Amino acid sequence: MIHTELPTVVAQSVSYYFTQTFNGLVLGMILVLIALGLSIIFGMMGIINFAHGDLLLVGAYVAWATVGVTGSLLAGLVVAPLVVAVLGVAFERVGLRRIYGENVLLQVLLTFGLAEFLRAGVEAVWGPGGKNFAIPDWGTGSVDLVLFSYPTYRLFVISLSAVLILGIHLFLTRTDFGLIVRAGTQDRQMVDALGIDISWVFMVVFAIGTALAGVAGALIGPIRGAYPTLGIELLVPAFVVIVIGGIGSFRGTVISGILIGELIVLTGVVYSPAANVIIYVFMAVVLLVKPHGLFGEEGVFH
Amino acid sequence: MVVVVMADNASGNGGGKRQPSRPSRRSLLKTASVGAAGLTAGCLGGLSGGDSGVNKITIGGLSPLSGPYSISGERQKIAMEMAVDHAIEAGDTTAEVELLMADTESTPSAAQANAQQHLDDGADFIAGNISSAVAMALGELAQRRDVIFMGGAGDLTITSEKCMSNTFILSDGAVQQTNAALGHALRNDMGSSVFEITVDYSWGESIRGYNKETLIPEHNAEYAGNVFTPLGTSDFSQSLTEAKESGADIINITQYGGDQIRALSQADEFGLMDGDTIITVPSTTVAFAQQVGMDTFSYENLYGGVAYSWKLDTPENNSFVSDFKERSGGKIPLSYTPAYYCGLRMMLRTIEETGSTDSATLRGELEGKSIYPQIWNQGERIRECDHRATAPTMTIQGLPPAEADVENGDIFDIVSVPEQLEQYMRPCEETGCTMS
Repeated sequence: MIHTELPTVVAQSVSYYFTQTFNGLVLGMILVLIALGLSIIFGMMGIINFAHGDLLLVGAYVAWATVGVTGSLLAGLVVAPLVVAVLGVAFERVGLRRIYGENVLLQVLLTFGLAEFLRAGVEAVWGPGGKNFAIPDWGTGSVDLVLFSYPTYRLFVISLSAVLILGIHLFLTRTDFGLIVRAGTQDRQMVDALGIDISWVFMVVFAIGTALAGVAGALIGPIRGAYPTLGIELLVPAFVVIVIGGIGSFRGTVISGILIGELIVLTGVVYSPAANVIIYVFMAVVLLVKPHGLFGEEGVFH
Repeated sequence: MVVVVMADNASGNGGGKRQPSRPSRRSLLKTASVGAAGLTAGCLGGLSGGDSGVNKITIGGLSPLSGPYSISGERQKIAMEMAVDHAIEAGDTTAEVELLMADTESTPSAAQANAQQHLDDGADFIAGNISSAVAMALGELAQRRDVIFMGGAGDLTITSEKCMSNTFILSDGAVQQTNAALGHALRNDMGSSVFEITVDYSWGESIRGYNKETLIPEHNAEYAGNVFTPLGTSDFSQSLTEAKESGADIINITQYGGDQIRALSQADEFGLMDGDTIITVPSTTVAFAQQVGMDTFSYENLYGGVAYSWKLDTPENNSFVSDFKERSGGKIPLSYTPAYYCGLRMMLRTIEETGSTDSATLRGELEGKSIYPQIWNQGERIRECDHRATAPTMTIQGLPPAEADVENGDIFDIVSVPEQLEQYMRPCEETGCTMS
């Protein structure tokens, strides 16, 4: 496609730039939620979960169905992560557990297979056309933030994501279980040797990681709708977030997630056709300068 | 009664002379039957074709059954199946008809691969599809394999310089669509500046090009800007924020399918649907609104173009709608549903009349032919010059929420129908189509 028009930089109002920055923040926060789940699972278990995006997809559809029955998105935000976590745990117990320590290719095949299976399942149950659920009544309209106004529901997405991210952080840094998780990511065998049932820890970690995908799916549903490729669309940039942030780094994932969200949106402001490509260029540059990502050398979840 | 145009019969008889292409066993077999059958058609020229010489017709059906256009694709498939049954019931064809269906996935490569498969499986012609980019790929394939392609594409390229002799386009085109939507707003002085959010592929390019170069200057309106978005965009917040910031009176959203749903529902989030801004969408269909719910579509500031509406009150349409509802379990036909119904019925009848599946014979017969059945009831036909149907694109306006009935697909009213069929089509001499 030929784009003859050059990007025009026009002086815009302050509210315009604030709004665009918040648009980037909404996307960034969703990416952080997805990437954190991926990152926790990878850090602890060494599993790259290719099914993560489609677990999110299931979350989005379950939330849609829950809204249909109860009329409440808040109920959907509770039910979706629960259902997805149960699915995740079942998968971990039945499938993943058998291949820990085996060839990494087996993990890829297994999680990829689950991804395909989940997507086919969603299409079989809800059809290929996609579903849209309306913004809940309490989320319609805009909130006046003095310098600019911003859609209420999107502010809710930012706030709830921030609360969840903080909660996960506190859980990992302030609880005994969090300590075990962090220890496990440093040295799995030592934790095992200390008499802690690592298998049980794995299960809980997988449940938390997948539940985050479920929440992300439920949160983004009212904005984007639910459709079969939603998960894949978000999984790819989430992988980029992890790589840029530094694999296994909590702080890196959060900062990188917000950065990527802003990068996509603000690049679109300047030159829209470049918006989807820019993150890969950015990733290449980061990896050239810092091969372990921005915070990659820090160890895990510090 | 349907008028059967016989003017081109002479060229129909000459159909044995095929376009240069690699001969295959199948095409040789077909050629053998042309001479005699063409003669039969010349004598009878009507419904009871008798011994047509074609005992079996295989249709290579293609529809976007997954992806952003699947909402339309599913119903297109139902309409095509119904067309085959109706053609047999009405005696339009005496041959055994087999309809193969495959997914275009709304991507040119997948559509072309599936169409190849159909042709390898013995399809006599290919039919269906909605996306413009896909139509181009299918048109090229049809040209290469020398079969007819009965398709749809809003993009004008396929009926311009790059037009192809074997391709017939039953859907409305970009100029008709944008004249019905943005054109209506400009003609009625609803605003004097326009911002656009355009899907970044051939159909979007077509519409934007015409708007920017012709439609907007013609009405002395200001072009406030445009954002291109990739097909399948899920987050329009950035482009909507830009549209809002531009302060334009009219925002023209050239998006279709799932993209249109998301763009409109997000426009609502950003407060663009209940203010003074006029929103126009060049092509829409009821199903999108049914999916979104009345909250997003039922705004009186929303104008769109539709190639067709189930609300159209003509005898042929009323029976089409009731048959379709019965067959689909209460679903209503969408904008491009009847086009493919008519397309297949026309093709089956033309094959019966000419006694041939040869592309040159059929082409001669289809050019200028009245569309059958006459669902729009305005004498709509297929233009000889660019092979595009002349069915009109109508202007619709969203109903206020209190009046809208989303469940039954009653969410907009037809507010304007072009007075003449070709009023908003490019004149033949401007298409640049030479049927090479």
